[in-house]
Amino acid sequence: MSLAVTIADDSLLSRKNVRKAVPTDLVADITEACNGVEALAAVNAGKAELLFLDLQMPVLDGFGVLEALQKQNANTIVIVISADIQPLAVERVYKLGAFKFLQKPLDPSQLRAALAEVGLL
Amino acid sequence: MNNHLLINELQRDALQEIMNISMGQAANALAQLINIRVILSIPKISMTTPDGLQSFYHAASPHHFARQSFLGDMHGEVISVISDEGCKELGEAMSYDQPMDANSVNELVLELTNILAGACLKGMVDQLGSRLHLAAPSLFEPEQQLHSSYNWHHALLLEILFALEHISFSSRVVICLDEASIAVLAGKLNEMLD
Amino acid sequence: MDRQQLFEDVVSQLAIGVCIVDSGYNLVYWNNFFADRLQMPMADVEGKSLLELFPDQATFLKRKLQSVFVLKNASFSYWEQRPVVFQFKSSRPITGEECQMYQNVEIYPIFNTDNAVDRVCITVYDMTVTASYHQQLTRLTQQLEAEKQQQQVLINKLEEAHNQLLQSEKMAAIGQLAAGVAHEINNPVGFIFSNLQSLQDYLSRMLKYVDLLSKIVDKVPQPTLHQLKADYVQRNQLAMVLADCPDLLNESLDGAERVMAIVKSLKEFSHVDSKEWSAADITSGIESTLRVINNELKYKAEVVRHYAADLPALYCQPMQLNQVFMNLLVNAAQAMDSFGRIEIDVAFDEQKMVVKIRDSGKGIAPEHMKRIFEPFFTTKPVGQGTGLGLSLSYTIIRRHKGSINVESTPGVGTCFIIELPRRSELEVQQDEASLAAASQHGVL
Ligand SMILES: Nc1ncnc2c1ncn2[C@@H]1O[C@H](COP(=O)(O)OP(=O)(O)OP(=O)(O)O)[C@@H](O)[C@H]1O
Ligand SMILES: [Mg+2]
Repeated sequence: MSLAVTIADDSLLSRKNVRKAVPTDLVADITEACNGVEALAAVNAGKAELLFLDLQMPVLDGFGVLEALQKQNANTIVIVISADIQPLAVERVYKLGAFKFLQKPLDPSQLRAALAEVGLL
Repeated sequence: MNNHLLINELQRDALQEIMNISMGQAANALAQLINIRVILSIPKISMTTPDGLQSFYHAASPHHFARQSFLGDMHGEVISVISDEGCKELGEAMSYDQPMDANSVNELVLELTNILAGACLKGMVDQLGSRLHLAAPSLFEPEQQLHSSYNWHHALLLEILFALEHISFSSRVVICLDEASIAVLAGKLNEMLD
Repeated sequence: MDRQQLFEDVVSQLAIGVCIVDSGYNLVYWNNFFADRLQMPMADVEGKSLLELFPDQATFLKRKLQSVFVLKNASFSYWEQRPVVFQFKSSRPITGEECQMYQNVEIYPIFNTDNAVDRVCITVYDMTVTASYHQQLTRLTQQLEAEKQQQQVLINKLEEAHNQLLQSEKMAAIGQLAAGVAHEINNPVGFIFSNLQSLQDYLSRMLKYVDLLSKIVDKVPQPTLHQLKADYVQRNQLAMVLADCPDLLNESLDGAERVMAIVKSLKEFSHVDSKEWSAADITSGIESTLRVINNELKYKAEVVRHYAADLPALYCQPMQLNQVFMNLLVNAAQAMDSFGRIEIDVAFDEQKMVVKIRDSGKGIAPEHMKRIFEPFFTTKPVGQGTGLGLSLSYTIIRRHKGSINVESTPGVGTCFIIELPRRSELEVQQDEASLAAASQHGVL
């Protein structure tokens, strides 16, 4: 059975990079979202058992998405992939229940390690 | 202004993302060097003409100007505009000898320019997989610039605003690429987008 | 020689300083440039902390090195902002005025195979020659700037002098006009005056005759005649007419006399810039000057004259001397804070004539005493004084081989003393001739 994965990032380049980095041995059904609202919609439509989440996004940013997910007690696994790597941001992301923080530009081996850690590989 | 003149929408999006990432790295590095939290704006990408660049120099309060050229498979200049306000506090935070005279303010401006330009460009070229060399920065007076003598028509501007937590200070850094380098950049962006 | 050895050799001899430190800021290498100038061979310093070797610049070096390690970008320092980073001896120990080497420093990262930076290279460029040249240039520029400003001041003064000249030309033109008018008025006023004098004579005779007739009429015993006379006198207010007549005429004569005096002064003064030499009476020159500036003096001061009796004539340029008197008298009047007193002494002995003009004005500040004869020296507000009065006067008096001196007590008054040698016409001509010859030979 394939895993429902959503990549939420306003940048096409970054979405592509994530797509490229997802290991081929993970059978995934990938949906893309361009902002936080689209990301939440994907979660609610059951398309996001795993969510790759960017922080800087228009309409609703990554922090907003994390807060909403925390409120609705969603059991989505969130891996944040962000350009903002200052310690304050990292700390806040974990507090909001993200599973993992990865920095941009995304390193495929780090992604692989993270997925292994969740037990998806 | 015609922002779509030399790079297309996709390339622009990619460049924006690359710049966002470099800024994230830059802010992190700067925080280590300056001991103050740095607030970086999302880089603004635009096309400019010599007149447009000239209007960039207009500032109401006293400012310092410095520039720094870079060479490599892309070349251009980094121009920084740094407010006089806040320089002294920043100098203190960066452990400059106190009190600071005009000379040490100049030194600070040059150092800041070098740090900001280096931090912004470094992340960008690393992601693009290119190399470049930054020449030494120098101070300049924009009034003494004859922009009518510029021999270019369009340049790509990447503008970044820096601010500091708790200190009233502002600076703008623009990375200017000439037409030939924009073509190189566009090529690199295409490679990444494939 | 292998490549490694070759490069090491070249680097050690480079004319720029090369120094490599690791991420703990400990010295890995420096070339002869460092070793020779600091008298510290490589072997002695290897592994030592750069910050401890250069404690004065430790903060600076640490900041710079840190930024290179963190940002992985080069960092720079310039002699303009930081002349000396490393305490090197001047590159011109014998001929230079600089005792330390001016330096540009560049610090850049050295990437290892993992693309990480665990060492940086510090290069030092000797900028002493450029710096001293640059500083010389700066000094020169400052000097030029100062000179330019001085010239500007001079230009302003010249402009003022030019305006003053224009003004005096205008005055001269007005003088000419006045002289013409004066000449025209002179004749009619002359005959008006003499006619009035005749008229005065005739009138007094006629009044006597009227008086006589009136008395005769009174003696005739005819009441109607008396009545007639009384009526006539009454109707024509003859008593008043007869009484008024002499007064009217006196007043007219007085007026005409004054007109004649003014015309005379005007005529004299229309020749102010005449440089003609002639034997002249100094006091009449002073008097005619006083008449011309009467308006400027009368509300400022009372004028008291002490003229010696039997003053001889002086062979001089009378109009030029009048100019001097005018300058001194106007200055005296302008020095008055309230209504004061101006005393004019004229005295003489065998050799010279002495004119003193003393005022009860505010006096001259001691620090100004030396300067008042300088052209353009003035303490008066812009537009009021050009500061040329005394310098012109000085020139004129020198031309007469005389001297002009000043004594002044602030708050009490000032006295200008002019001494003029009594030269014969012949002496003056000789002096003037040698003056002309000198100026032709470019001595003056
Ligand atoms: N009688 C005086 N009492 C006080 N100060 C005097 C007197 N005469 C000259 N001075 C001082 O000397 C200065 C120079 O005098 P000078 O006549 O050369 O120039 P001026 O009166 O200022 O201007 P100008 O005569 O050209 O209108 C005066 O400004 C004044 O300060
Ligand atoms: Mg005067």
